[in-house]
Order: sequence, then structure tokens, then C-alpha cells
Amino acid sequence: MKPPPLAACVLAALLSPSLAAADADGVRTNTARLLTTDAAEAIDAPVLGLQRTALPLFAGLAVDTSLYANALLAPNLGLRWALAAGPHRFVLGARYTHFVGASVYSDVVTSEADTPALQRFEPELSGPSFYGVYGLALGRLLVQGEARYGHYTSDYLSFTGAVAFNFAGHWSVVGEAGVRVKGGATLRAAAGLRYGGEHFGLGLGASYVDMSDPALPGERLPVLPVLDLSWSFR
Amino acid sequence: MMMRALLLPCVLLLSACSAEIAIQTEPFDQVVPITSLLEPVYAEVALDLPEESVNTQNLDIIVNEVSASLVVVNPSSTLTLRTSARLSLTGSATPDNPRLYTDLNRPAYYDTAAEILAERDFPPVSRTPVRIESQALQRAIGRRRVWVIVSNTVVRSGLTLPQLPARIVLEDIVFQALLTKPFPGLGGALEAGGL
Repeated sequence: MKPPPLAACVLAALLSPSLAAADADGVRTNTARLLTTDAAEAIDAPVLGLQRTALPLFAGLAVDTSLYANALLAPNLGLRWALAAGPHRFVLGARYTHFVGASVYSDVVTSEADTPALQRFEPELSGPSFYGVYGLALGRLLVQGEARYGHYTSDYLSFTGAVAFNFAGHWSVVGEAGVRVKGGATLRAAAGLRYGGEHFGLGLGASYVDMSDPALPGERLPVLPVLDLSWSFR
Repeated sequence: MMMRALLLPCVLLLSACSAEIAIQTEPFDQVVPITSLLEPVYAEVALDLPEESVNTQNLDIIVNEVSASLVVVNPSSTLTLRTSARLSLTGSATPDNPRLYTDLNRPAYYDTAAEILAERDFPPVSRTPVRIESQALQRAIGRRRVWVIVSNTVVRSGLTLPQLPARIVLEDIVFQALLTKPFPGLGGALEAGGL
């Protein structure tokens, strides 16, 4: 007999235990991230993830960092507090990012640039950010709102609502929509899937970012893919 | 260009806030022939600025520093050179074809050009580094091409007769700018990265 393809095996492994579990306990992401916003969820175990790597401490507190940003030479460290009271979920978080890759990026850009006149091009991305989330967990449904403020060289402020529905096992479908008051196109939205298994976690979707900037001549980036992988140490 | 088109968004994904940009044009020389005494000769040279300083419309760009530097060389052993410079946002010279003119055929835009170097004398057989940090230079930011018009008048000095035509040389003309350019429209990149 021909062995089944690897993808089918992986899919089966992901689906079978979760589909078997009849009493799924609502939306779970493991990393407390939906697609582009924080999830109204307590981080119950140390987790190694791309969007968020976190270590729970005590009383709902956790230290966290974005591995994506670290990999892009923007080391960052945050403190997050989450509380679940009945169906209510409260989250407060703060993070500091200190970009160290200015000269690396500058070297790349200037070596690729058409104009020898460009001597340096040093991106800046350092500063604190703060966020708060309130969520309502209604069985398989999670409804939440997030406010996020970042004080970098220019300010970032957004308000985003999100709905996640745990449709099967540890799988949830996620939709986000909101406004950016500062920091880009006014409308923001994202849609995709979340999987929060016993150990493995996955986030996959697309976000409408509509990034356009006069600094990018002719460039317009309407949609960014969202990919998050994580592993929980339970 | 293709590579660059791919690269810039990637870099900006992270630099979702701002970037400090330093630009410096390649140094070039300009020879100004002197054909008469006491009458000014104008040399109009075109300066093409890199596009990083051009696409600044709708951006709250912060100009930290703009300067120009050059070395004024007066090789003549008898003539003193009296020179001043203006920055014009219109002009007819190209980078390959500088224009020379006198008071007789001086274009009207010379009068509207901003003075960036006040008139000063350069003695015979001298090399004088000059650094211009005039506020007027900031007008160049956002322009694709600007023109620097150098006015040169020679005055006789000493007792010997001057040998005409003579020449003066402007060496290593360089335009530098240090800008901070915010990218307020790229916050979406932070969201997808977990920041």
C-alpha cells in the first residue's frame, strides 16, 4: 500500500485528537495572540512562539517577547497581566522595543541602492508600547476589543474588535476589524485560523494593512500574510 | 531596481516608524573660465539629488542638517577672485552641460535665487575649503534637481598684467543632507509581527 502523503499525516494528527475531544473548552491560542491583536486569554504554560514567546510567572503575570521582532534585530521585552473572571477576560500589557539593527539595514539598503549618494538609511524603531484587552468568552465564542498604543518615533494607536469561534477541536476561526487612529491606513482587518493544541499552536491568515507610503514610490502593500507557529511546554 | 523594489518594503516592515537618512552627492569639479576683469562670470551647475530626498511630499520630514562643501582653487598668481554663490530652483544647466553667462545674458531667475555663500575674496594661488550651511540650502530638499550659480569676479592685484583668459576651479563640490523621514503609514507591519 502506498504510504499517505506527509501533509495528510500532519493534518490527521492535528485533527484526530481534537475532533475526538467532544468538550472543547472554547477558543485557545496558547500564545494569547489572535492574528494581529492580543487574545483575551491567560497564558497558562511557557510557550515558544514566533509572534509571542512567553513565560508565565504568577497571578496572571507573564514576561513575553516577539521572536519575529527579535529576529529582525528589534529585541523587545514585555510584561503582561491577564485575568479570567467568569466569562470576562481582562488583559493589560506593556512592552519595550529597542532596535539595534540600524547599521545592518543601512548597509543592505545602501549597497542595493541605485544612487551612490545614499550614505546611510537607518530605520528607527525603539520605544514603549501599551495595550489593553477586554474579552467575553461565551462557550465556543470569544468576543473582544483591544486598544494598543505605541510610542516610537511616530505614534501608533489602534482600536480593534475581534471575534473568534472554536468550530472544531482546538481549531478556531478568527476575524478582526478596527481602526488605526495613528500609524497607517484607517481601516484594519484580518481573518484566518487559530489552532491551539496541547503543545503545538498555529496561526494562519491574512491581514489587510494597506501599507502605502510616499516613501515607497509605486509600492503598495494591501495585504500581509500572518503566520504564527508555537510550542507550549505543558 | 527590481531587487530594490523587493527590499525596501522588507526593510520598512520593521522600520515602521522612521528612518534617518544621510545622503551625499558624488563630488565633482567645475572650471570657470575668466574672460574679463571686474565683470562677473556666472557658472551655473546642475545638481541632481538622490530620490531619497525627493519623495518627501506629504511627509513630515525633519531636515536635521543640509550643507554643501567645495574647495575654491585660484591658480592665478596675479588675480584675486571675488566669489559668491546662489541656489536656484530653476535653471537651464544639466549635470553634463554647465552654463556660463555674464551680466549681459544673465537669466531672470538669478535674481530670485537664494544666496548661500556671501561674497568673499580668494587670494592668488590659493586653495580654500568652503563649507556652506545656509538655511537656504534646505529649499533643495524635495527637489529632483537644483542649480548652484557661482558668481566670479576677478580683481587685479599686484603690478603685473594679468594673463587672460584665466580660470578658477571649484573642486569637490558635494551636497550633503541628513534627514529624518517618518513612515507613519506602515503600522500594519508591526501588527503582523506581534509587536
